[in-house]
Amino acid sequence: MTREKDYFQEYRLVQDRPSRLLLSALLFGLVLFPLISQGDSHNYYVFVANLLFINIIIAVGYNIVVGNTGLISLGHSGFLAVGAYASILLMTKIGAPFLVAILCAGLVTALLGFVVGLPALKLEGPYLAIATLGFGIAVEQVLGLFKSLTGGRDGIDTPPYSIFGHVMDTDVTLGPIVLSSEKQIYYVVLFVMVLLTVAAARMMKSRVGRGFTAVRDSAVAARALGVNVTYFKSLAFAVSAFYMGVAGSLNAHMVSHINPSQYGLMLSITMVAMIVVGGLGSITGSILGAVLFTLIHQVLAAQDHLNAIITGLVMVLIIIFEPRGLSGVWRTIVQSFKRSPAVRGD
Amino acid sequence: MNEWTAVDIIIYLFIQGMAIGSLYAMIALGLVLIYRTSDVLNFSHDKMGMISAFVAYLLMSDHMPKLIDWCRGAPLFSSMGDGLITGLALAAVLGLTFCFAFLFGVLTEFFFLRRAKNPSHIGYIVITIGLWLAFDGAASWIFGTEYLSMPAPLSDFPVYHLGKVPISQLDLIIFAATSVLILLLFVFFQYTSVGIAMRATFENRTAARLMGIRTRRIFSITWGIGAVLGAMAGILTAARFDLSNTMMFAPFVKSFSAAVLGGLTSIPGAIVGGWIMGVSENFFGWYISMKLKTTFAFLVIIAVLLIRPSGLLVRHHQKKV
Repeated sequence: MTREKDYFQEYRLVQDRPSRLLLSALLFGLVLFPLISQGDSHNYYVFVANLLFINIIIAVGYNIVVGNTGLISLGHSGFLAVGAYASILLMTKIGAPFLVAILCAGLVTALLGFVVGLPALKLEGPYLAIATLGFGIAVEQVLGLFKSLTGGRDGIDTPPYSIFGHVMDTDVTLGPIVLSSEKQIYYVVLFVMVLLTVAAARMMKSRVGRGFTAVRDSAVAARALGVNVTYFKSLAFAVSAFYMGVAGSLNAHMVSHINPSQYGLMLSITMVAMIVVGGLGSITGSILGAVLFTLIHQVLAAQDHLNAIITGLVMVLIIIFEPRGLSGVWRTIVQSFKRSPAVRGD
Repeated sequence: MNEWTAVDIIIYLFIQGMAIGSLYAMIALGLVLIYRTSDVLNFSHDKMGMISAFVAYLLMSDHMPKLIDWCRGAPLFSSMGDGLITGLALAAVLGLTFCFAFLFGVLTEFFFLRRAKNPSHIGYIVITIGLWLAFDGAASWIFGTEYLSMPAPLSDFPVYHLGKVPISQLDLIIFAATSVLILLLFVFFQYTSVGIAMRATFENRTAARLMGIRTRRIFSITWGIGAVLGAMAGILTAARFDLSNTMMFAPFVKSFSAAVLGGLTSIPGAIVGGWIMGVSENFFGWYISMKLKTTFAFLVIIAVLLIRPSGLLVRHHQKKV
């Protein structure tokens, strides 16, 4: 087994029985976590976990376009903003139910992603990076401009989560267990996160995922083999924009107020950091990257400059020393473990 | 402004646009120079320029008065006028700043870019974005985040009048500096051996290497020169607007677009792109919408790129298999 990536190895989320067990245990633990941790101070940890799950959705979705399809986009913060505002406006202006609003936000963003992806058909590398960067900045500016609809630069208040008429802004008591609003949100976000991650993993194993990879590795060769490059490039943008839209609206409804400036370039850079440090084109990598940067941001929230320096240096060092990212490190560890005589029983 | 005729307004907008555009062009030149030679799109260019501008600021506010005092006392300089002494001191400070910037560029290339094994376009972009963040954090840590204005010789420029249209001396300086730079770069690339070696490296890295050109050294020098261009732009930006750790971001994004507009590998393209950018956004801002200026800039870029995917002045090469 070489260290080079093998296609199916790469995209298999659960590689063998031990890791399947590990993953089940992890999921079980995640489900139990809010039930075990009671008390007000723990609501903070649950909140961080919610942020983490949303970041995982972001990283997985962003990785589809950058890691799997090889199109550099620096404007994905724009999609998050569009998703957030779309679902807020759907809920407040039209009165759509929460779940419908989130789904519609995802679809609207996907449509926009398809449109934004059109220049990607002609542009490549740095040219695409700058065009998408422009899109991100434009979204931020335009949102700040339409005061009547979006509240302008001051931002807009967001309605809370609500499912089937149950509004999640008060505590719910189930026998001995008290579920705060964070904990109720936790289960919604966890569910969506698992759903979207599994969907991405399955997509990467399917014909669509192979199409993305073919486009990334060589668009010309892919076209020669009958892969519809145009279709897959636009699709990659649309799918990843859908993820952004859902993540954006999940995030917006979790906090009580959003404004356009939080969807700036910094957010796009954080996304790049997450997937590059985690591992381009790898779902495990997206998750690891999201975990790392959510933690770094929380721990260093008070020290802005330290946060920036550490995030930046981690990005630089990972490209220099391990371009495959944390998932590469992880794979190396697993493989050396598998090769060790003790495990093989030699 | 109520007595201005339409022609006055157009002249005013055009001159302002050319001045800002020259600033964009100067930043874009540094980007293009680095991109041409080493294939790296330097996202950290604005932060490097900003740090150099801060170095110039510190030198000017801490050491320049002492230097001027010393010159007044020294026998050789005492016969000179005050203006000349100030000019010489400023030149010394700028010289030192440019030395710093050159070293900064060379060291950045040496420690961060050269270390990368087998990097792709994405890899390079990620490295420079990482550097952007790290430089940003370091600068706000060391220099603080307040807005400063440049000290004496680089502030309060006199304003001339062309008819009714005011023209700041600084705008003329920016324009002149960019013109001189264009000439210098032309001479550099046409007649000096380093410049020719750079062009050779751009044309074909392997062949250049086989011809005995030390391509790695060329990369370092390119980064140094690029950083000096960034430093010049940084100082001028600080003089025109104000000095802070975010001052160069907006001009940088525009000059990035300017470079893309002209074609990332074309030096004339960077200059023309900068001018087009500066003038057109000024007119758009005045006649249509001030707030959508940046958005407009990007729409222009995207529109141009859809017609000419490699920019205005670069012929698009279809990748051959």
